[in-house]
Amino acid sequence: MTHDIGSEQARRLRPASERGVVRAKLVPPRLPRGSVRRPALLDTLRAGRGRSLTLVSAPAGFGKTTLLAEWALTDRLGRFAWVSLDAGDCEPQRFWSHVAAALSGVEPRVTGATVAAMRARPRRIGDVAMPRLFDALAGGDDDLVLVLDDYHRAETPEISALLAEFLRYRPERVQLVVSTRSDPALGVARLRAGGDLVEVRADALRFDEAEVASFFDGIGLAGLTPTEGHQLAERTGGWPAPLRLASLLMPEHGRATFIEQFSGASRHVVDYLAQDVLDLLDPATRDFLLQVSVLGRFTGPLCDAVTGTTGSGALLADLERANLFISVDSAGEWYQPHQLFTQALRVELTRTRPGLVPVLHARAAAWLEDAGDIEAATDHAIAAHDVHLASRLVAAQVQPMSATGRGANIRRWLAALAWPEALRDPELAFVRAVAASLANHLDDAADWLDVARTGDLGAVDAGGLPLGFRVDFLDSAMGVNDVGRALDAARRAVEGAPNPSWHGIALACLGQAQRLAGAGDAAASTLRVAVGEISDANPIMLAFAVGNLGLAESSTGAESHADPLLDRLADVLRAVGADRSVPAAVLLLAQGERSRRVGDPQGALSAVRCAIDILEDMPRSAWLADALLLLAATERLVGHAAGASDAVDRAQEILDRLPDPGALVARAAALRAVLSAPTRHAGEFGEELSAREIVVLRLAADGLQQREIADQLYISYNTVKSHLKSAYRKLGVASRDAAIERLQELDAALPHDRPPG
Amino acid sequence: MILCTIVVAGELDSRFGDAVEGMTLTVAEGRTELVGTLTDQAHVQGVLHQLFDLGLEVVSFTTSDPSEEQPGTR
Repeated sequence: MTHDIGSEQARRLRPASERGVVRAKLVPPRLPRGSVRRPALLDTLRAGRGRSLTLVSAPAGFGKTTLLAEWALTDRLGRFAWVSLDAGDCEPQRFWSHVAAALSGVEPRVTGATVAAMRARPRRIGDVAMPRLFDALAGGDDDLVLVLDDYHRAETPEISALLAEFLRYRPERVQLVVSTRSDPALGVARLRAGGDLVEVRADALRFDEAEVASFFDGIGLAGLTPTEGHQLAERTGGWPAPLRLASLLMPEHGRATFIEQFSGASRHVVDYLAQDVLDLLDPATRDFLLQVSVLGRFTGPLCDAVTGTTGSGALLADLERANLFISVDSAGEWYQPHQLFTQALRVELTRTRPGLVPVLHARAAAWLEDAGDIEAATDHAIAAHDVHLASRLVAAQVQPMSATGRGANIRRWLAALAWPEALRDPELAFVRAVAASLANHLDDAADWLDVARTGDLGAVDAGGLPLGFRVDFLDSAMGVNDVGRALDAARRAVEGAPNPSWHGIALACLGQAQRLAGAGDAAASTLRVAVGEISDANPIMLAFAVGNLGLAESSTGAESHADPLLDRLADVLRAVGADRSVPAAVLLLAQGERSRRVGDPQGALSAVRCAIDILEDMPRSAWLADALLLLAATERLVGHAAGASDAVDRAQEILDRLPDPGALVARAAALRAVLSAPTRHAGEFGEELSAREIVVLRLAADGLQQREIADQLYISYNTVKSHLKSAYRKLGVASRDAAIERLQELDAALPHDRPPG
Repeated sequence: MILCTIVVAGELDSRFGDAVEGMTLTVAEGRTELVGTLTDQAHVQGVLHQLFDLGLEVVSFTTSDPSEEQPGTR
């Protein structure tokens, strides 16, 4: 094997990639020799101007890319923004960065900053980055065409949803063209019905007899008779790719005989031709093509590495000139094999030399890693079934994933790494646990962490963190459903933290576990230290610590250190796009508790409901149960007994299924007892206070004025007054203070729903 | 497990059986029938994708659960 290239050379050879944009994907391929001009189809495409979508949808080998490349070349090249998509573009950030970069080539107002904005979390792309792109595009007058070639390779529900949004809100001047092998999930039927769709499908792309003749003229096989043209069109169904194969096989003399034989054969047309074309090639070329068929896009040096030879660059140029199913970008550097022929080659390679396939993939992975294309390297490492390499490459990409919420490629890789050895790999198990946590599958995460623990716990990652610490940290941060386990893991993480900031983060996890275990005072003191140690550079973990501190302090009635920090951190989380995360929810709960304490139960209700809306994404978590119990306590405070009971019931349903939800069980039981107990607030003369009177008195006890109580309960000022009067009478008191004191005495005789505070 | 029968247009050489793992090929009258037992829906999708990538035209496609081959025994 001869691919020991120095890093200097590797850097030069890697696909030009700024801000994660691969330039080679942004140019249409050169037109192959002998491509047939198709003015009628170009007119169809042009008619898509002003419509929502122009769709080119047909199976492999129908000349979709060639047609679009011809269009770009015929009309002014300058107004075409072109993206050749691949499987890695299922990552929304990557997809939209490429789209923005392509548009920046035709519209100067789309700048590097617009492209960079696309590297946000998926939610932020739709909310923030795309409107910015629209703004940049809205200014100009001239029409633009955006071509997304091979859309089927990148399509996921996430990508379709964002592209549908692009369709709906794009500026008029942008014509969106999607070329794909299968119809995209973009509401095509609705667009068609509304006359908002222009489409070119397989039937339109088929060559008719005249086009067959013109194709053979173009490649220098002139003078096809009408009968021959008819036979070829008939046999291939006008399918362009097999016609191209046939042209390679066509002998100079005896063409009629060849066509006769070909037309008479019953074998599948591609099967028949691909085999024969392969047989036609000289053994070295044939071997070369078979070996590089494992690659998607390639350069000469990459082919050298994979085949273990030299001089691939010259061979590729020859093949491209000879039209052997390889197209090249306009820079003449990156080659793309024709998909249909590649599939036939792969079939042949797998059949004849199955043992070689993983070896070729391993060579490709090594070269691509050297060249810095980690994503492509990972794909090949997986295809090579090299668990060790795949594990290393995937693990190296986890940090950016957890920081930005990117995960589509990681999920794709993890799904592919499904054979037993890959499922046992500890580093991969850790990555799976991170992915499961991000997807809110907390129980799966815990199971994968158990697998990760079987590995070498001292093995450090790129950031210098030992596996053991990473596992304990994740286990304690996300392991809220098993509080005992989370406590143990958090203590180990605090022990093993490699630096003060991580120590603070580990303490935050410990504090959360202590709080959920019911040790409010210990939790508050742990969390105060944590807040001091976590660096401002980590706002998400800081918010997590502060939110938990606020809740711990509320539960113990301690003086609040968290209150002044809550609003600022909520702003910071919004700014970094983490406003739907668990830390954001915990922060909202703490804000709710603060509102409740200062006598604004309606404010508390709305904050807690926002938190619940976030936490509904993890319906089986102690977090949601915790939030529901806070909701129940606040609902009770404003007199919504039914709402409070519903919330407790929902919390109980969750708690019943959790391994160890700590003190939440006791809190739920206490709340239920209070809610189901008869209102034993009997006054001096044996007359019970009504539920409404109790609520009004409680709010008065919180220091609210009558006007404020009226606002909180959405009742009139006079009603508040009459409730209070009636309560004084029943309690046999004459003043507000005396009534409050009496109520507190009565309350003290009842079971408590929560620690005083 | 899913017993899967796919018919594609055109007569395929038996070497395609090696490419589409676990499927047996029968060729007749301009059509090819591929029969095999596949692990799950993901496997089925994978096979269909592979056929699609080869530009083959799927004429019919049926699946059944091999463990329920005798109807009425439940």
